[in-house]
Amino acid sequence: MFRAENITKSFGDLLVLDNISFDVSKNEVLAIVGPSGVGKSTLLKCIVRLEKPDKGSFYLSDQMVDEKNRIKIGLVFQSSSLFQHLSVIDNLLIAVNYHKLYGKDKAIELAEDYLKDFGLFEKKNAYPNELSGGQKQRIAIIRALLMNPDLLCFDEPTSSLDADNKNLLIEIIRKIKKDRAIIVVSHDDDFIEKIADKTIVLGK
Amino acid sequence: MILEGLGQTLFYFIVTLILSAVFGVIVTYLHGFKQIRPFISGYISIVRGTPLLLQLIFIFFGLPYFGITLGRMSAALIGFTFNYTGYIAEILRGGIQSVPQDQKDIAYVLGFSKTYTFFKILLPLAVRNSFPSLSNEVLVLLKDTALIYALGLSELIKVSKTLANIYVSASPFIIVAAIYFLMSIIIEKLLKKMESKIRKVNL
Repeated sequence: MFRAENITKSFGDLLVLDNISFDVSKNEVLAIVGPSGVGKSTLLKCIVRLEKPDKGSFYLSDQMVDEKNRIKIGLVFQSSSLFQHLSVIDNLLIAVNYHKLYGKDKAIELAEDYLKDFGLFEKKNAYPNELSGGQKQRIAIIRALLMNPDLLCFDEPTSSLDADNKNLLIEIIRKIKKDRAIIVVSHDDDFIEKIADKTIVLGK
Repeated sequence: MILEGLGQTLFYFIVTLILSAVFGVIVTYLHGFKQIRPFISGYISIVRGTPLLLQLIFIFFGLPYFGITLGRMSAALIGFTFNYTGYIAEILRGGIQSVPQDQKDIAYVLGFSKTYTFFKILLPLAVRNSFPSLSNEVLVLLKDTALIYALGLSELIKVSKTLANIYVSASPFIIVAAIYFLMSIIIEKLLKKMESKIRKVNL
């Protein structure tokens, strides 16, 4: 499903990613672990093209990731990645409507279904500042899912979650991985143990 | 006569406000393009580095020497808009800079174009971030409209001076001061209302 080949990236003299290769298939969770500062987030940024690797390429279903197919890769940020000035429903719809993935009514219907599924329907018209950290994250997950990604990445998803929210997240990831590949960057050992099908360790 | 002067003052205030808001947004948008950026920085330096009064006088009395003759009204509107566009653009640019990086990153990850990101994400957030500074500019503009006096237009100040001469009295000045004060208070109240509305959904 998704493949990284010989990804190398340095900032000045500092070699951050040294010839990293891996692959992850549908219905699989790949955990990228390692201590702080070894380039886990940089790798994630390269995957979604926020950073450009010096060498190497990514492939999605054997096609090189470029400007066209990169929207098939979703990312849920560590911090809240919801747009602060938009309500929950507008946050969910902005991307799918921009890319015209569904008709307008169909998009609302899908978004509402997800909200019900995630127990957040009554938050439909709330603004991000009225939500808890866990709720914001789940909305960000729904927004990513509505884009129907082949690969969904999470950056330190448990860093600001309590135990209940963490268990909920584990449940959600197990559910949504059926249709896609998942990459999780984390240094939460307990979380990784529960969720990961395979692991690569950076910084060794 | 006072009403006429008030009408003039409000006319220049409102038209300048609308024009500079529109052009301010356009200039801020263009600032996102590296090739154009130096020109915009230069423009903003000129606006901020020279007196507004001089800019107005130059446009009306100076440009004719270059073969460009403008009516009083167009000279005043062009001068004000030239000046306030620069200030508004500078404030909005600051507002955009203070938008958290993750908001910009997620817009990129979701595949939004630069233009869409600017108008739908950055600009709304920038306006919220910089609303107090923008409000301040609006109030300064109201009082700056008095400068068109220098171009011989009959706004409130000129009217008050004429009336003071006719009646040999200082009361026209006091009345006009009260009118300015009242307008400022009303505009300030309106802006505060807008601000609290914005704050409700943000921060």
